[in-house]
Amino acid sequence: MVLTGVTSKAIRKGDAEPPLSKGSFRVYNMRFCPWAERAMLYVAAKGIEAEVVNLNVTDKLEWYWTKHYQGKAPAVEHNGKVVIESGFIPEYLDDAFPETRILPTDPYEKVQQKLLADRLTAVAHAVPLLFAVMRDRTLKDEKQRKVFEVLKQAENLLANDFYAGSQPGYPDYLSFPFFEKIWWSASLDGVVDLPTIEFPGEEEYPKLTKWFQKMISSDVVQSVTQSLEHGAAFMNAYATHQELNYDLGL
Amino acid sequence: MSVLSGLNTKVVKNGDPAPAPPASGTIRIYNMRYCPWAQRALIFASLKKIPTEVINIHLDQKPDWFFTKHYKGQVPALEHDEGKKIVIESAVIPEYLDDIYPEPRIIPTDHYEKVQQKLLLDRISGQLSSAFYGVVQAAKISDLLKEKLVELAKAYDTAEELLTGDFYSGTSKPGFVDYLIYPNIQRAFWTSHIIKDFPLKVESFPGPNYPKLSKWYKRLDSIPEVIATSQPTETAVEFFKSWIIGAPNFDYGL
Repeated sequence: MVLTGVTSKAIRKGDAEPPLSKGSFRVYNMRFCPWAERAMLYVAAKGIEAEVVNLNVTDKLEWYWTKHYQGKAPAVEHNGKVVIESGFIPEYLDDAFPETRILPTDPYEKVQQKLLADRLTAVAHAVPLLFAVMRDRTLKDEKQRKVFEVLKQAENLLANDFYAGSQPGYPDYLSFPFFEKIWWSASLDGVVDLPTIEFPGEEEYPKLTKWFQKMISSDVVQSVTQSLEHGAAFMNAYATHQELNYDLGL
Repeated sequence: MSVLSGLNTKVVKNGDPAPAPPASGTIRIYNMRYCPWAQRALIFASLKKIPTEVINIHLDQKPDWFFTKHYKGQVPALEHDEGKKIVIESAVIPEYLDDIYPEPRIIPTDHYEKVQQKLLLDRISGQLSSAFYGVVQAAKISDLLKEKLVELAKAYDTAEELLTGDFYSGTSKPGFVDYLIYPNIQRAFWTSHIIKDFPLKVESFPGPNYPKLSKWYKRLDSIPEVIATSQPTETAVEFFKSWIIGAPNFDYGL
């Protein structure tokens, strides 16, 4: 295991900044956050030895504002440098750790994978629609129709086993967390008519279903993600504005 | 001598035939003369002195074939390698051009400095452009306009605060962030001639509330390679008037 602290308790306001020894690499994470998960997946896929610090982002740490001006996860820190934003961290990691490069070096191939990941952010924008249904079940039919459209587009964009080709790559790692949030939603009653077994459904989304099974069962994903039960419970609490337990399941 | 040919040509629209692939050694940029996003691509091509053919697109009557260049039919789109390669997105094209035409390099090669420039662009540009388009859309609804003008002033406050030196590049020369946010700020300059109570002033734009930005704008506005991509103020103001009322005249001035 190259990641330590994945299941550590979240630190919060009043907690001191843990010392980071020279040469060490740290990821500031929130266990259930899909944006932070992008960074976690990329670090794991690249095999970077990293210490994970989980954050309570409701009760924000004072010192963390110097790392991220909005106090959000993710951030990566090493050699005195901090990089934020899940849309920028992955490529930075490929530049800084080129021996385990995931993005292609060819400029055209690289840009096409980045553009594909960009198009797949439609999946990220579908997740809040399901939050709305968690708050008000009468919205289900209206909201899930849009979710299904997004999944159909994602199915159509999947030309191979993975978005990056024959192996998972940049667009796979950057979009997976949001498919997973839809999967978590599917396990809650009355939110979205999608199966949790063989998600999102072999009949409507054959390629995507195979892709999701491969991704969820991979070592990379399993080394950073949370269980369906805990993920769904946390997400439901978040969507319905309840108190959040950042250490759920620990 | 500008490397941009066809910049001031009439828009192509639905029914017009698809152009032949760009010639070897030439890139093509699908553009609209007043579009700030497309101008980003033009600025990079101009700075790098890449022989460039510009085709302007009618954004309300797009040719069907244009959707094979951009799946949403948006500008800019870059086409090169005799039509075999197409790249879209205004923040992506400049990076791509820096990769395939590395002289002169505009984005830092140091990985940390490069990502910091991208983060800075993301932070400033998103706020400036959404505030600006908020104002434009509210221009006909005076109740909402006041609120939107306040948001615009705040966005420029942030841009002023984040400008810690002569340029956002952090060096003595403009860089990635400077070139990519300039077009949207120029659009606000044009609009300051049109909308009453605009918080950004025409004289020494954006005015006394933004001393660093005012110097910055004057510097960017005088760079020949940037000027080569731009439109004259009086023409642009008239276009923006037509656009704000919902009847854009894409060929205004031609």
